[in-house]
Amino acid sequence: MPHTAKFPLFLIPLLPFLGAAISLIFGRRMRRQSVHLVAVGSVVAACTVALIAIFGHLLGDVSLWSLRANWLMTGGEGAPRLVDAAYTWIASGSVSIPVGFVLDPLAAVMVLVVTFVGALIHIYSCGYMAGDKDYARYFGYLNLFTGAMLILVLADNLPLLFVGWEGVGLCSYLLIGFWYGKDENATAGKKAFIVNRIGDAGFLLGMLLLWAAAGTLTFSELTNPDIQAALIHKTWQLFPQAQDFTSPGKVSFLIELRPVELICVFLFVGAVGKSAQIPLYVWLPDAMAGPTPVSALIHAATMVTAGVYMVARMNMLYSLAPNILIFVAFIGAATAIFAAFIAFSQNDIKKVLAYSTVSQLGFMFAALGTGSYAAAIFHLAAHAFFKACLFMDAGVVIHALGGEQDIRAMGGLRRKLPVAHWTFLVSCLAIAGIPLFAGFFSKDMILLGTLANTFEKQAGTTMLTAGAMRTVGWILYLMLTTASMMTAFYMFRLYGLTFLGEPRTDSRVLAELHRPSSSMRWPLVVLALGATLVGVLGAPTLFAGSDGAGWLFLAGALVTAAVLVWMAFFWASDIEEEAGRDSSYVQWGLIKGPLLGAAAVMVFVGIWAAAGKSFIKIWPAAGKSFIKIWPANWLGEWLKPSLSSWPIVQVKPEFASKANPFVASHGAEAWTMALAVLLSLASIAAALWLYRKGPNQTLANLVATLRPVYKASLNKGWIDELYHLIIVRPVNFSAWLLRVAVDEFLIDKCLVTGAAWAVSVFGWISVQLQTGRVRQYIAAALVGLAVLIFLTTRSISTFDVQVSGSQVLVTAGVKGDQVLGVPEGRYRTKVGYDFNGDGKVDTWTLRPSQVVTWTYDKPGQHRIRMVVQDPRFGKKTSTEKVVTVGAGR
Amino acid sequence: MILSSHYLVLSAVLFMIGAAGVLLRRNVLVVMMSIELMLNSANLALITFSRVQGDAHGQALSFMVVAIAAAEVAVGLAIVVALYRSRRTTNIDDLDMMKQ
Repeated sequence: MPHTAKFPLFLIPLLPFLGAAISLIFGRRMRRQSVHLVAVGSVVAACTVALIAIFGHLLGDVSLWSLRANWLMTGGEGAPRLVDAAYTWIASGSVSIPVGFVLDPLAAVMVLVVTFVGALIHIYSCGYMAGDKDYARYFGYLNLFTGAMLILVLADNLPLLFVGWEGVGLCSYLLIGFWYGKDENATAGKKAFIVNRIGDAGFLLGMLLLWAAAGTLTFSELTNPDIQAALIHKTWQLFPQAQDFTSPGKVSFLIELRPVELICVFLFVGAVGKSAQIPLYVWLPDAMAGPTPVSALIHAATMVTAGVYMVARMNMLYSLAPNILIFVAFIGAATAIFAAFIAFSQNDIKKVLAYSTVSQLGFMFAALGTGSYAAAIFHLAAHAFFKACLFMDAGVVIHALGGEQDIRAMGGLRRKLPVAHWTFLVSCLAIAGIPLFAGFFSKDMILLGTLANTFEKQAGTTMLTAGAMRTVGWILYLMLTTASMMTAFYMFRLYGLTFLGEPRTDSRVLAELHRPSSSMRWPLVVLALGATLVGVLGAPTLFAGSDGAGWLFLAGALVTAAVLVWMAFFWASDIEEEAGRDSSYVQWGLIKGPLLGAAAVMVFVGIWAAAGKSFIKIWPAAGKSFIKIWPANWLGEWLKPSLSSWPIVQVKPEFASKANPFVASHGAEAWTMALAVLLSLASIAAALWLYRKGPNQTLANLVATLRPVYKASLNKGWIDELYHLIIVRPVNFSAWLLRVAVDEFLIDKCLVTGAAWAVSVFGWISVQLQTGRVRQYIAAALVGLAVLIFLTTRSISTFDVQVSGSQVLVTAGVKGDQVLGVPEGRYRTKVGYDFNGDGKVDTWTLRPSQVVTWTYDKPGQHRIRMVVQDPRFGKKTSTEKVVTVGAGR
Repeated sequence: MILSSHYLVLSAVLFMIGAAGVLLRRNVLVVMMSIELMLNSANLALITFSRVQGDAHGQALSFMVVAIAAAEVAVGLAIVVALYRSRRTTNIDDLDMMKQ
């Protein structure tokens, strides 16, 4: 492989695993400082190794970056990647599954998100969990999770990915039920685990089917054209035995499938479970029972995005199954709308964020479904920043209010928790898609993907016509735009109720407000800066600067910068008033400094977008080299080697071109952006207007008007109740039935107690036999002897034959085994011979030793049968022999 | 003419009488006598077969049976005497200690 190099990638997951081992084994005897030093240190170390792997060329080594640069220059097949084959895990016959790691551009994005956001959340946890007695166990699990997630991300084959997949599921379960003392936490953990099992069963089936169809599970081999051809052109028949029951040529019940479609559906079922999509999303809101940093790391930023990552990783298969992609897109879009609808009326701060996560994951799946894999990964990365930040802000609020999670009992926290406030607001702006925050670019890319003509062009490969595909694209676009509008509304409802208005919290709680420690504050600032700036990575046509889009960007950048500056100075007085002794550190270090810095970057980006082209004219060398490392849609370009399968679909050769995944006009780009921003701004305005003062009469009237809708949203669409009715209760009933009928009756009563009862009955009988009277014992022995004699003595079982011409002479018994003479009398052994084979005995004799003769008419083979009749019971046994006789005299 | 089978039938009859004696009589001494009868019926059968087969091993074996029977009677009678001394009975039905 030309674009491949070796690198000890195993270190990246190994370091967190070592941290976990130390924390879980020795943690109880370690001081808290040592515990979090090990935990944070191992993740930071993993992040460092990942950075060296990606940017190591700066140290004069081969790195992913330099490999990609080489790939860009020389072109060629296969993605640039670092590989590491640790050892062979399973070797059995033709199956060989290595523990192999691969770091390609896609894995690199994920590894950086996991280790960077993970490290920040580890640091935040030091403050959040400071008072917890199970400090070491918490960090042990968190490290274990990070390691498992890194295995998932770096695996170069599906089974290894599945190991990480199950590992993160286990850690999710352990951390949701971390405070296992409360019954509902343990129940939530179990719910998450069980719902995930459904998805995992699908994943496993998909994997086995892929093995059956392709004979390999290694990602790099699945791009092989021969294997892909086998996946498309072969058909699988469901219920093939149906043919046997029908007459030839008349097949009534036969379903033919392309293997790749079945495989993709099953793998998607796994993704639906892990990434909380309809219909398996129900576990995620309940998973909020865990500590808040866990919600941020596992249930928002990383683990729940594993499904998105997996589908993107398997893009070479999904691109072969466009029908399934449409299905994926609709599941995603429906989830995005439905979860956003539920988030409207939830009153638990973490529940709102949980439904928001479900909704955002829906966006990602919609992006995958439209083939915009890069957009999905972009949104994933952006979402990791702003959602982790939102959750950790929620954690600060909950921590400050002593465990209060109900937003109706919050309000007015703007002045009390200034750092949490501004980071929360920035993250809200990012998720709402306000330019030029992170969510704006990623959401825009997703919306544009639904309208890109590559999607429409798939018509030839799907069940749908081109017109229908266009309609499908438009429906998806409308669904996602609606969901995006709803996102802006519920996020600013949450913001308004939590931070604006007058405090509704108990004054005693407010008086003893727990201020976040430093370790809890600055990770928020870093994440908020990420949520502000990370979108620039994927900004489309950012440096094109030729068609007016650049000026649009400048405008957006200036507005954003103005907002940031306004934020920095508008709240200055509040902070001076409330922040207390650390005011200047908080003011400049955590609030004004970062905000002004972000504003400066925004202004620079805007100016560069608008004037970049002119700059290139003035100083071509600098400008061109800048564009070279930072082209438009930089993230998409970076991911291209890993996600290039779209739209290379080999079902029909006319689609086999390496076109840019986003073939949409700049015009479409501009108006989708503008519409999305306008709708978001309208939603934000409405939400702030309604909720800025907390619950009030206007709201009460609104709720009364929309009562059925409100009820449906508040009760989460009664989906939990529905599942309870159609799944949980039948399962419980069958479990009860099994308990009563099988366990209690059949096993306990019949088998266990029954066996003991049978033994005791036989024991009782034996006791009765043991009288101690010798005469009875002897009698039994004699009876037994008689039976043995009867059973073992045999009747005469063979006979001797002598042939003399056409005459035969037969005697019962064999020579040297003479039959004992038995006295004449009534009970005699009767021996008979059937010579001519007609089944009837020709000669009977009462003296077995007597020689009987018979003369045959014809020469040749004859069958002689001897019949012996038992003298006592008349039982007959017979033996046969074949003789050859000669001609008569 | 006395056939070998006549001896065998006699042996079987003697054996059955001995067995009946062992099973039905209560006195230990009579039971032991019945056992002797059974042993001797077996001796008779041995000698008969020995003659039929023309093989002297059977006769040698019957001598050995006689010798061992003498030793067995000596031990058996000693046990009977010991039992009688401890239990004051020779009724076999009263001697059911084997149950324990």
